Amino acid sequence: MKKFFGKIKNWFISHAPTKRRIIQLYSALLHNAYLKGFITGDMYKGSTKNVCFPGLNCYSCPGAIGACPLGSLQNALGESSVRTPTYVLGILALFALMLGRTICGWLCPVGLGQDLLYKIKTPKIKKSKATRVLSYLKYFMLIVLVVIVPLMFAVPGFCEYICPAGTVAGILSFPNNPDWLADLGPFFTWKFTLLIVIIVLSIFCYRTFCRFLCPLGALYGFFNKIALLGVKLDKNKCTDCGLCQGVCPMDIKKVGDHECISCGKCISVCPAKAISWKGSKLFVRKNDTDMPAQAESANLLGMVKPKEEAVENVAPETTVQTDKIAENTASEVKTDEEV
Amino acid sequence: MTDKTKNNLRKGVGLFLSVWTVLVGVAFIVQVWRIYGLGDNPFTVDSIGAYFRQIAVPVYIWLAAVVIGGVLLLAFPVPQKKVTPYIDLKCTLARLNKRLPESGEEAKKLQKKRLVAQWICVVAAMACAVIALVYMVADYQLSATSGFFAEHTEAERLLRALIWFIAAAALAIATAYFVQGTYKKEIAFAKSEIAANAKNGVKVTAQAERVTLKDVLLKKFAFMQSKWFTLGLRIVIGVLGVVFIITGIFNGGMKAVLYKAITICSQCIGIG
Repeated sequence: MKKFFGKIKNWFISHAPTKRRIIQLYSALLHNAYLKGFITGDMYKGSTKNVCFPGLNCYSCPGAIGACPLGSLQNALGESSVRTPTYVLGILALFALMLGRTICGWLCPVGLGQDLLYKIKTPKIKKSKATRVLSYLKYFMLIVLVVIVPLMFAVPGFCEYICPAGTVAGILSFPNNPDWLADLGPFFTWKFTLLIVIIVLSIFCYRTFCRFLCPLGALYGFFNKIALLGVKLDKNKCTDCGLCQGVCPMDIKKVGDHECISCGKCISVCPAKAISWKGSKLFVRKNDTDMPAQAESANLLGMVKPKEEAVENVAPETTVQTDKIAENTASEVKTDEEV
Repeated sequence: MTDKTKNNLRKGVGLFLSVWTVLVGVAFIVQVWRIYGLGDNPFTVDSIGAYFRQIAVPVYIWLAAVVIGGVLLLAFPVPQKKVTPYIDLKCTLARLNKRLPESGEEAKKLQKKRLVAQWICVVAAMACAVIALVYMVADYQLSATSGFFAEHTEAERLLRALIWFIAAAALAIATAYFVQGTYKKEIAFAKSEIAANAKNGVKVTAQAERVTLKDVLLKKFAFMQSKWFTLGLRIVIGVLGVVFIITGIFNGGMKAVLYKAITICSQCIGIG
């Protein structure tokens, strides 16, 4: 019995939430701070709804205390014949400039939900060429459903046909507002079906919605390279070993590109210490990553090659050594299959 | 219990959970379509609840399986797995080519095939995009005269556009796999040539690197990589953002956001 409880204690210690997870939880709570709304079914009508929140969170959710950036953008574009949609565009520009897709990785409540679903232990679908191609689907969503449909038909296309956050908001609201049930029809049936498909796929495939469908992520992705916060790669130190891409659950081609959600997993595994946080002195500690337990222990045990040694080994003419370093490091650095 | 048994147990629960997850998902979807097709509108919480109560047992089993999976993981932790590097075939080939005086005939053929496939994909994808765009924006007679699509013309347009997008995506995936295949073959050729050269004692001088359009563009727009350009861009976007927000406050954009956010959005929650 004592052994069993010891195991449980060890499990809790080794599975203690990372800083990223804690920030995600706080952020989800902050997005939905009107907890009373979940019980009474009322919507929050305070002045904080003047401002858009960074993450995807339907403003019709009973707990939401801010406006959804994507819904606001679509409505603003739908009303562009009345007024120029400068307000929402300005807010989005500032969010994107400051955080880029760090918002997806650290602040978005929908992202948190998918991260938790992916924790369920089932066989997983790994990233491949197909997922890479499918990751461009979100740009179709952005151009067609978020821009063209609202501009042409004054309808928030993404909210109406796709958004799973809105469907969840509906499901949470219906018990306290039974009158709305009379209006259920093809829209809800379709959106509920899509929600179930997204939930099921998120259990097998990392962040299905973020990677393939989310237009907000697509929009923030454009600003990833110039964002003030995120991860950056020092090209002079990089040995092209490919471990960063190997450990990354998103469909990145390079560290910090438009697919990168700045989760920080790559920082821990980089043998040449070529990846670091942007503005780390201002915002975060240098080695504040998403997988401290495994990677830091690997570092402490001296499993990861120190920076100087790794760089020294890779002279420009000895190209084969780059592969060797990757192989060596791959056999040395160990981590969970899914984090 | 041996490691093999533990592994099999974990795999068994994982497999069961996967199949059951899909089945429960399908059950939910079937029930919601049954409510839509067979349910009596106006719906009530009780009438909808009755449909979902029919699948309560499978859902409870699923929840139990999730918990059991977690407990199993606690009892028999998964052995830690190695991080495997992502092998970028393009980079690998470039590295190997540096050790060859010239690409072989077979390799050249593969390069041509790859180029043709990529251009076909680009042209076809662009054509699909144009057709999809025409379906979205052009003024034409839609087929539905009554029902859902007649009330929501954008839905019919979207459906037509989506078909072309799916076609483009399928083509892109197929091309990606074809290109990957050509890279693998070319790498195999390069490796065999390097081995043959080494065996015959041929001294190799690296072949000149091919200058691509990307290289030319990168060189031309090298200033965009500079620190100062990034800083300038940040300042411009930051200032524009602030100016846009202030303009939005005065042109009623902020009030519009508030009005929309405090009114229930029927489209968002799926009631039309």
